[in-house]
Amino acid sequence: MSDLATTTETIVADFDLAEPPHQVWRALTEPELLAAWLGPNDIRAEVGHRFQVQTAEPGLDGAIQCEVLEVDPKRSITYSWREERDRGPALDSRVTWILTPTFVGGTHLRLVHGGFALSGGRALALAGAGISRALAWRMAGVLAAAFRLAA
Amino acid sequence: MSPEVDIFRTLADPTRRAVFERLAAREMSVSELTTGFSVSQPAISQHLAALRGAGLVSERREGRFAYYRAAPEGLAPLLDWIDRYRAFWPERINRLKDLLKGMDQ
Repeated sequence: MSDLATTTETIVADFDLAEPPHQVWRALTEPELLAAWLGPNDIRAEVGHRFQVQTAEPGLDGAIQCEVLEVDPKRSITYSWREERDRGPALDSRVTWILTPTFVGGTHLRLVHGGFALSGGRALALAGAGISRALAWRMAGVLAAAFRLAA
Repeated sequence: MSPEVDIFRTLADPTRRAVFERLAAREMSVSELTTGFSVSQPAISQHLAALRGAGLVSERREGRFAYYRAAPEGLAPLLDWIDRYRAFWPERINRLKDLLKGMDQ
C-alpha cells in the first residue's frame, strides 16, 4: 500500500483482476454477486435507482444508502454512498468504479471514493502550525485528498 | 451530530475552504482575512462561525480584537474516515477476487 501518490481528489485504489470487464461488471452490478463481496443489497445499474448495502462492518453502523448517479455499462458506475448513523445526519460521499480491459484479457479496476476536496498546495503550511511532519504529510494528503491504495 | 458530518459539509463550501487554508498559513483577524476575498466581512464571519462549529478553526481574543487560526486537530475525524475506508476497500476487493475466481465465464 503506497500513499499520497496521486493528484486526484479522493481515495483512489487500483486493482488488477484476471477476469474480463463483462464479468467484473456483473460482480459490481448484480445484487446477488455484489452481496457476496460487499454485502446484501438491491442494486440496479440504472441512473436514479436508490438502493441499500448492508456492509455489517465494525465502525460502519447500519446500511449504506446509495443512489446510482452515472452508468456506462461495463465501463463505469457512480453512486452516492451515505452512511446512516445512529445520531445526527448521514455522512455523504460518492463511489465510482472504472473498468478498463487489460492486454491479457483481464480488468484494471479503479475505485474512486470521496466526499470533499481541498486544494493541496497550501496544506503543507499546516506543518508550521506546530504539528509533526508525519502528521502534516498525512493532512496534506487529506487536504489534497490524494490517497492511493495498491492491491 | 457526528463530527465527520460537520467537517464534510463545512469544507464542501469553496470560500470556507479558502478561509481554512489561509488560516492554516497564519493567525489572522477577520479584517485581514477579508482582504483578498470578494466576499463581505459579515459573510467571512459566518464562514468562520461554521468552521469554528466544526472544530476546524480556533479563536483567540485580545481585548476587543479576535484572531483566528486553523485547528489542524479538527481534521482528525476526517483522517479516521479515510483510514476506515483505506482498510475497508482492499479487504472487500479481496472478497471480490475470490468471487470472480469462482464465477462462470
